[in-house]
Amino acid sequence: MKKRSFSLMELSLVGVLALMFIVFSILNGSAFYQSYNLLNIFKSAGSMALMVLGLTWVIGAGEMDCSFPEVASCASMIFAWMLNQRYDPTLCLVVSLLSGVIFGLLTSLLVVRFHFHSLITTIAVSTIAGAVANIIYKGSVLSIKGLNSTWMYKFFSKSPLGLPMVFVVALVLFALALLVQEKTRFGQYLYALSENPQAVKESGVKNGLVRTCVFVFSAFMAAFGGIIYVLTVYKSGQPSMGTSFFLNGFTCVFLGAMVLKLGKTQVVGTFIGALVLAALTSGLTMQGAGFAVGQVIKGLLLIMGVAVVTVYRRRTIPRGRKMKYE
Amino acid sequence: MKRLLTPQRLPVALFALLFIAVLVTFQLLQPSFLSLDNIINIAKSVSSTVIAAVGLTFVITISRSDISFYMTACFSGVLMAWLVSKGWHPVLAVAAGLASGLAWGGISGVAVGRFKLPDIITTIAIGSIGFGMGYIFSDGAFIMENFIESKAHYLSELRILDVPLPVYIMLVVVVVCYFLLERSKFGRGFYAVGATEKTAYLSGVNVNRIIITAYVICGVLAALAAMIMTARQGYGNVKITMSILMPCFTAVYIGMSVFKRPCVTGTFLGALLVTVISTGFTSINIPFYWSNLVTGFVLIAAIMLSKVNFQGGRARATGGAAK
Repeated sequence: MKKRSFSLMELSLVGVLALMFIVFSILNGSAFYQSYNLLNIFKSAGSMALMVLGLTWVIGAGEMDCSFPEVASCASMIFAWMLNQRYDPTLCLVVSLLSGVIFGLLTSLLVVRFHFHSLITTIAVSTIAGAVANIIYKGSVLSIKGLNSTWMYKFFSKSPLGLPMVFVVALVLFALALLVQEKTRFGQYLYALSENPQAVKESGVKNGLVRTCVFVFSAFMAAFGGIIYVLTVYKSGQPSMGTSFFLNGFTCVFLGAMVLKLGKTQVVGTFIGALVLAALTSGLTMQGAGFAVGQVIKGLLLIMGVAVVTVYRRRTIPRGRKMKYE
Repeated sequence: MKRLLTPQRLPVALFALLFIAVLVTFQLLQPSFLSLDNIINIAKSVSSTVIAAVGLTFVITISRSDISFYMTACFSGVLMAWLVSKGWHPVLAVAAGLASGLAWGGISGVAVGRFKLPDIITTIAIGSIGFGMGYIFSDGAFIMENFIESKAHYLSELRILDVPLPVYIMLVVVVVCYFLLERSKFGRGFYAVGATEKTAYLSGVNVNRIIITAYVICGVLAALAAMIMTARQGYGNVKITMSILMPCFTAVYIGMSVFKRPCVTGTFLGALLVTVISTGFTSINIPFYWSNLVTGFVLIAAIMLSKVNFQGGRARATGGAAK
């Protein structure tokens, strides 16, 4: 196999991460580096990365999924409600993950079978998921009684090797996802779909099946992420996680597109993107920056990621084929 | 002999039947639903949805999406309330709000049209920046000073011949946009770009200018809708239009399912249906999330219908130029 060398561009995001650590450690003194804060960064990066692992592939396959925050809140509400009804915790986990699978199946049914545009479909699905999440407990936050005694809570409060459990779980799952993405046919088809869906279809690949898997996996991971947020952060069911995760999720994924496979969203990038975002959030909070500053900086980072990706892709179009308006 | 129900008219007839069925249902559940007061109330809520959705129609017509309009509109709404609280004349404040809408639309338009950034993700980013900037004025708190005193709420509450001002504004917007999009040479350009950009370019349409114009119109109209909603509330609230994304997309897609292409008339009808459903649910004291659930399914049904061609076969996925 040909050994490829990394270009400077492909490592720029790692540079951004390093720069951010330097800037924040100068601004905040030693507080930023304290292990407590670093562990917090790892923890929030791990949970965010898990939630958008599936989204990475959806965008990699050239589709769109806006429904992940609502699917996550729906799963969190179902999980909380079932735990309060004294069902077995494992059953609660399975059922709430299944709810994610159902939303994923609905999306893929409409997109693959009925040829809907995935953006509009996921807007509709997210509204439905959000409505269900609100219906469960009349739109209010549902606090969970006896969460501390469930095995899942105990599992996620462990810290192997001094690292938060969420981060370790995220590392393991991302390593598996990397294997699937790089070493299996599924991974190849995924990126082939974003390049030329027609060619993929005509070479006999079951492209519908691949896209269904991608959408279902995305919704599944969103539901999983929602439950992880319940276990590690909220300790309650949240009917409207929506607004904050929406931007953060896309920022992680698109920042990640700047790493390694330039211009393609992929799992390693998403993981690094989540780390960058978590470090940024933590640093800004220490500086006492308000919601506005954080939102604007994240938005700018997102545009920067998208712009780098677009400029790179445009360079791959031969000059002769480019029209003046392009 | 001319047939009364041509394949083009059938969806319109179906829509009318559905609309009447919805009205009758709510009338049966709540006897005061079709009272004059409530009709005026519905007309007021319809107007802001229609204004924002008509703007979105332009962007959908050129086969793009705009996820920024509902977030940048929040900025315009809160800017207007802030300027009023600083003692500006409401008319000037509204003008400034419109200008900010124009600026946000322009930024999205230039990013998507001139720099060819992918539309969805870029507008998400720009929208988030706009929404974040909206927090600068009051850090998210309500802005109430001087709002009622300076009569800024007249934008929504002033009545001329018993009809509220927003209804007039809505009619003007709909008529102007109808002639601009569907009856002018300039408007054909939007459909041409939406069908195939390359053909549009080769037949002499300035593609980039059309794209930028569509986003600017969307931004300005969303800002106008946000300010009307702010005036109805009576104070500045940065989250004012966070809920209009879904109704606007649903309105445009219902219009597409009726007329087989994005158009101003269809959007108007779609917005009417969506608003009647949501106000109907409110009038029989059912919380907002149930009406969200129904709207979600209505959107899916609308897209499904827009795919069905009543002459047999599939209609085009996006509205083409052919009439």
